[in-house]
Amino acid sequence: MTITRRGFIKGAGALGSVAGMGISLDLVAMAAQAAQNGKAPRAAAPLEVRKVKSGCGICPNFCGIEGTVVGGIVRTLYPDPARAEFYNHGMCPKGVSGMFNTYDPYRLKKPLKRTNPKKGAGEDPRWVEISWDEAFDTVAARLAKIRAQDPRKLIWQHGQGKYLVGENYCAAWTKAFGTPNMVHRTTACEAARHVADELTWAGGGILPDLKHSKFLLNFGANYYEGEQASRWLDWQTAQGIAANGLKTVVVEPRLSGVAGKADEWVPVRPGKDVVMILAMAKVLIDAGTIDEPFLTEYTNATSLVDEAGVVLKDKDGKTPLVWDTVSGSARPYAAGVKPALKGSYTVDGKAVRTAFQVLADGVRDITPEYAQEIADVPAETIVRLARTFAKEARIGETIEIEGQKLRYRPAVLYTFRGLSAKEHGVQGWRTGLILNMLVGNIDAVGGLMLDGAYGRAQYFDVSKCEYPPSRADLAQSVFFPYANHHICQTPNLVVQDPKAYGLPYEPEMQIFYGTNRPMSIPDSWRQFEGMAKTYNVVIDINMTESAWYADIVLPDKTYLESWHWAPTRSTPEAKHLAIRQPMCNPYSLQHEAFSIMWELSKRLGMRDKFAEECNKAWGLKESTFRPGRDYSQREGVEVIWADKAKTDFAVALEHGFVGKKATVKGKYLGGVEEKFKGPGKAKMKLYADQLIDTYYKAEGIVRKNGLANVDLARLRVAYSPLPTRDHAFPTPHREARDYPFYVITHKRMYRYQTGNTLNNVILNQALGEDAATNYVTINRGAGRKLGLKDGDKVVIETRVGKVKGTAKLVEGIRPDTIAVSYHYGVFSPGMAPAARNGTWINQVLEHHPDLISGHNSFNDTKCKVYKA
Amino acid sequence: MTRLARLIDMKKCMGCRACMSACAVENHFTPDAPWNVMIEYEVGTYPQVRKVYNPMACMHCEKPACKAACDYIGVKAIRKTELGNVVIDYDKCNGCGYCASTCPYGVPQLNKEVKPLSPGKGPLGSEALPLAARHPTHRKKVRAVEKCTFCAHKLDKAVADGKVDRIGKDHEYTPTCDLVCPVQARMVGDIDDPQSDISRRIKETNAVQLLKKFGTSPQVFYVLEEGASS
Amino acid sequence: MKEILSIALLGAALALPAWPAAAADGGKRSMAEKGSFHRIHKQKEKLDCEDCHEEQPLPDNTLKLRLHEPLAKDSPGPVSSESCHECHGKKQKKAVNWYAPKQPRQQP
Repeated sequence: MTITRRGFIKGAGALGSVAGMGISLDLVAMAAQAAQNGKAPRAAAPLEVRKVKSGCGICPNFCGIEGTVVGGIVRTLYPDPARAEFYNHGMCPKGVSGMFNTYDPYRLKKPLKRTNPKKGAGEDPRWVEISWDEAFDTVAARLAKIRAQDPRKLIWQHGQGKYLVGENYCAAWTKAFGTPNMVHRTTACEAARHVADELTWAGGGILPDLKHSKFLLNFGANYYEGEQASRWLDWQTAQGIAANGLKTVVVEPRLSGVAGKADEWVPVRPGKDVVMILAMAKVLIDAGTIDEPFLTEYTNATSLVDEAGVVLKDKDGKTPLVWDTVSGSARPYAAGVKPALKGSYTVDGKAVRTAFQVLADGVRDITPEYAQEIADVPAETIVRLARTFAKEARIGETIEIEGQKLRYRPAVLYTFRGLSAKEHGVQGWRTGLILNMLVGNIDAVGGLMLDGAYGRAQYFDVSKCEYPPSRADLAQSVFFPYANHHICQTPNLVVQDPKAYGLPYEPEMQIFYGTNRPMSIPDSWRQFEGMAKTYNVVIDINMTESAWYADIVLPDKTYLESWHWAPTRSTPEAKHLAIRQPMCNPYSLQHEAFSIMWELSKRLGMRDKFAEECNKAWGLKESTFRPGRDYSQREGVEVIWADKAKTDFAVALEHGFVGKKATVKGKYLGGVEEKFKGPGKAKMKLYADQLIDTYYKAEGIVRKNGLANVDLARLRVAYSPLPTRDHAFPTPHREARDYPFYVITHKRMYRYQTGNTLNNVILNQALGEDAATNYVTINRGAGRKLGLKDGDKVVIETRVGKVKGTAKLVEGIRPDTIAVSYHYGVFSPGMAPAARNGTWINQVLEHHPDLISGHNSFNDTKCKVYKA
Repeated sequence: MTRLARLIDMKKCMGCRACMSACAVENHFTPDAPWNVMIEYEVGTYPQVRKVYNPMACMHCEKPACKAACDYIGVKAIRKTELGNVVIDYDKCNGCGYCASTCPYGVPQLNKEVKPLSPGKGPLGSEALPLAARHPTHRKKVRAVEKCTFCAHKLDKAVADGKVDRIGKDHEYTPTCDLVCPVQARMVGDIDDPQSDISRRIKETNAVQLLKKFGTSPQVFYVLEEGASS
Repeated sequence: MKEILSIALLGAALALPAWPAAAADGGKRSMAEKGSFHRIHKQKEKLDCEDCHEEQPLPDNTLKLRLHEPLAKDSPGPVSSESCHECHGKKQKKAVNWYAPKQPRQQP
């Protein structure tokens, strides 16, 4: 922190707190009146001006920020120029106006207790303000009882809260308490993409190497309007276009922000992109424009697969066998073995094929013409894009950078939610990964960069397929075997009938921290039914709908009022460690999530256990939390900083972060080159054999336990080791035949999810009327056929229900598709009126989670649309 | 002599509206009088369609029609500073709106009511800063016309600090919309210097002025998106 | 036809009368319907509303700051800068040439 100008005057600092107390003192109007009366303002007394380096906490981009605090008031939030070479060059509209998430008259300021036991959207909770002491006593008493009976009956859920206090604290607290039920939100976001990565290369985190890419084939990654790493992706895309002539093609049903600026927009039919990519794979395979050395040496494309789909193993039961062209026999891929990439063979009398051959045979009938019929993308476009992708990948070429000779494949297919936020989301991104593997662009210059290939080998294992489930969200149980990122929507369903899932306990209490969970989930009202059954504590900054269903509401501090060990986004170019530091506290709030956890730990007699679990969860080695004492939020950050950053905390205070640039070697040679290439090593899974193995295991468990609520036929389709055309037919596409339109959802730049930015007066008023609400986006021609014009009120009717919205007729959407953004149309009377504008689409979406990852299906629903 | 201009690359602009948002915060936005907006539209027909994002604020014309009108009626509330930004003196402005009518871009906004950001809920954040502590362009006034000033408070500071050469480089001297852009689609600089970054970029990109036929010689240049209005 | 008519009428309209001395009387000097500027265009020079006001909303690609600004009550429609330019963009004896005047005109 540097003080650039001093001149503190008495009372200047009090301005913020006067405002914060909500005293109706409209200085603006008063000043305006004075000006009108011809009274010039008195000479300005200097106010204290402080510059504070910190981090934005609104979304998972974690931009570096520089706040200017004038007279105790956060005046501006700019991008931190020092952070540009590590992450963000600029900031989004939410970030630059983020102080108005803090300066919000609708903030929660005192703990509240519900006095109306009945919970419902139309029920007045009859809140009573209580002291913090009473709030802690009440919550701790309830927790103590549960902990004594069965601590698993507590469910802790968080959303963006994970990125505020830091998820490791939440993990440590729930661990100390004794419940396995800590549930994050990723299945409402992009969990399926992560699980596809985990199953394929045993790690998570991908980004295109846009510094060198020439061709970006983007399947619905709309980083101009939302998403992770978007402040790097957008900047790097602009740089790539200017410096490298990067061409971008965006494949998605709606002309999103990123599609609207692309070289080409390919409006694919919703959910059918899997078939389109498989057809592209066929084009590449048929033309032989594939990177055979890469497939052979780095992937399990050479593994031998039997007719049941299982990979043949060596005598150890683990090591996969390949067909050795030298000896003409099935062997492990060891030194001296030359594996066959293609072909059918006989091993011990059994017919086997290489995994690559299984893929090639699987796409034989998926011609571009067939894909045109299914995905409504012209066959010639599919062929052209496939050929361009292969050509731009420059298969076989190398490039020298800083003396290192490297594989050069500057064409990359990338996605975020486009291929993943659907019923077969894992298979969706698996399809994309396979196309990338076919041209060998993984960890190659200009290709797809993996963040830590084979970093977590356990993802290649067969799932434990728990039954009975240990967790209330059913993650990693037989219901969702590879739900590696929790399942945020299941707890509120399971609590309604835990026995139906074999859960060996009945959850009684939920703590929601920094999440408005039910609003973000398809078929939302079923979520509220769950919340109505449990005793709920909500920690948040606003009276969200989740808070409306709470028994106790605890006000949290915002990211501008708190000390945080801040998460950061790493890129292929750099990594960094950062903190957030408080700039203000206008409402004089006493507590935030950290101190709430700490205080509850004390009252539950588990403070030292919490400290011990913090050390484990954060992986602290040299600097640790010690027993027998309390820690403030700042002290907690100091402990972690000392251990992780290994520099003086003064550096954190002055700069807000420390960063490190990637080396060429680290960037290109530490991943697949080191972990997968050549004999005797694990392989990237072109063929996800652990899925078929898991299916057979799950099948046995289902039959043994007579689980009527698991549909084995659906499980078999979901657990295919290779993507198939079936994955382009989610449940509503097969069943909702009388509903002619596809409905898809998307983000917009002007709001974040359904919580922390909704009351922001700048976002709601200064960005234009169109940003203050959302619309039902309909193709102009299709709208006219329905007799609609711009601004008409329409009804969207699905098999779940009906919702109204305002029609916006555009050219940039498919005629068979409508799109509605989420973040709008909340209903809590405790939110600002402007927050309630628009349509809350999630409430009418069908809920068909991905059976592998548990990911929510946001883009599979079908609907009718008509004039209201 | 420094003559400031802005370059906006519509091919780069992704329509995020961070410039609008940051401007609103920086310049004490009041709901009746926005300074910085996004003109957003489609070009083409399905499926050959693109998006155009055209951020618009004051063009700081060399021959501002607003000033001509204001001078013509003798009010003389509008001046062009030595750096070239066009600024309205709220105390002189009589609120007639003539400038708003003559501006080809509809930039000047008559603030009929200096509405607070959250009426009836007290001042929020910087709304509580007293007028005396604000730059004159931030002392919003009922029935005065206001508009983008090129962040005159920062430019004035640059002049006072002898840091005119740092405009466009340092946060404290750079118009806020230009410094927050995530994709660096905007820049500000001296177009009297043919070697400045902005002079070279304008030349390299064939950037144009909008509504040039009005002859006001706007000092904001645009790299036009394909199919964009000009 | 409309264009020719409006140019002719505006040319006459902007044979401006002597302005009152500069004063903070924005209430009278206003483009509002009862303001002086509006009166000159409408009542004194008898321009029809549609000579300046469009019947339809301006197109989305109109380069105007508050394109979708709500219109004043009873307004016949938005005014395009183009229609202003038709008269005020030319050197005419009686019209004020706001657009690229060599020098701002002094008050008569």
